[in-house]
Amino acid sequence: MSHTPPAGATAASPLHERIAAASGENPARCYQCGRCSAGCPVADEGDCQPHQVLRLVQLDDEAALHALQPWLCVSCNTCATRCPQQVDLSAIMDALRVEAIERGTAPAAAREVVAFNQVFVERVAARGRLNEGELGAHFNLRVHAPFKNLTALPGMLVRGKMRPPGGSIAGAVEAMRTRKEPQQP
Amino acid sequence: MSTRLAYFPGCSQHGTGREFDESIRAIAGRLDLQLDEIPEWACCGATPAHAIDPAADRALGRWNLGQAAKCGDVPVMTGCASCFARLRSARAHAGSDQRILHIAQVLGEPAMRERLKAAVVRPLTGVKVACYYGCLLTRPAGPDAIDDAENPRLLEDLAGLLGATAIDFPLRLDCCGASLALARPDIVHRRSGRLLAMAQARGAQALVVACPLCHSNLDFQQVAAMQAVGAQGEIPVLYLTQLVGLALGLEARQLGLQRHFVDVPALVGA
Repeated sequence: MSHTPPAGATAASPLHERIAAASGENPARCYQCGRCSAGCPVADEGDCQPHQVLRLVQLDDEAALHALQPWLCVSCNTCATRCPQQVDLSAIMDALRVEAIERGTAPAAAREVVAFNQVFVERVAARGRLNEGELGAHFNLRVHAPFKNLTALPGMLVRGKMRPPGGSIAGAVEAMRTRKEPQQP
Repeated sequence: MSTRLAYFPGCSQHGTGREFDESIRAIAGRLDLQLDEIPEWACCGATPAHAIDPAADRALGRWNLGQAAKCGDVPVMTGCASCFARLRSARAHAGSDQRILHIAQVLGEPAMRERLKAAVVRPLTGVKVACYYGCLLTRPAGPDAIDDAENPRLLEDLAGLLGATAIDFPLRLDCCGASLALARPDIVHRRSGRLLAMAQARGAQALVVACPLCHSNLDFQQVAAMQAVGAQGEIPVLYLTQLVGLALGLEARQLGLQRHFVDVPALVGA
């Protein structure tokens, strides 16, 4: 393995190169001490531990793209903060999620988390801001559970915490649509 | 002299975290902070954008920094930990030197500490609080985070300035379950339940937070979270700015305390 992340990678590149290119991190630096898993708040909630996900990437094992663990990652950054090799595992988890969606490999057990993330981004793309009630309603429709979390609604309404969405932020909606990256000097 | 800030409220502050915005604005009035709301600010993208759509995350970051610049050459200030983290990331991507501050940092600046101390009219003497940082106030680590990533003192210091006693709270940096709230509430309940039970067992009268998602998971979800870890009873969860407001003599309604799911008893005699 190379010691610096390759600048570019294609769909045919081995997994560790694709993830390195997408995340800007070098998976090869990890020596599997497990400190990321020791501090991870969801390490014992998934199908494997965070350091094991990284090991799969090092081994170019595409099973990493089918794992549940990246979908439980809450991006708390504890792993990145404590890694003795300065590997930002949360950035690698982002790269794995992006590619799992592109390739359609996210596991069935992650269905609701995938739906939540997608609906969230869709609502922001539509309005420029997020309305939590709208997010909840669209999420429920997406996971075919129209009454999920509905018992929370009266309490939210009484406390003034759930309000109808305001208008859209046209400039932000346009920025989300074009996603124009600035010119590289 | 008034301190001017470009204020980035964030989406939660218009909804479930409404009282965070209310209490920020209420204490700003007392502390001579001038909050200029950034015109047409957009969602920061929160966790979902960078998790599945990094181009969307960057587009939102560029938009928000551009809008913030319209407020002039002043620091950007937000109360939301997630907005704070995304704005920091956007600034890094843009190579910009825009200052991004969390409200806790603004309150913690030396001159503001003096202003704060002088403004306390109802010291929280004898009130025991558990200060909870969660994830994105101190992480990712860096000089632009609010404090040291592994041993922060800022929230405890601020509580102390108000006269309160910050208890030793070992889980203060552990995640509440964050954005899994809708998709995997079971995980959120286990994570948040641990925090609540520990704060309670160590004698805290309230948890102090500085993030709307932490607040929602610890307050709105508290009954389920307590059940998930076999704990009983309840513990009020206050935003840092609400704690400050109480010490500054503001009324419960001005601070939005009536919006909480877990009632906030009078911590000090009015």
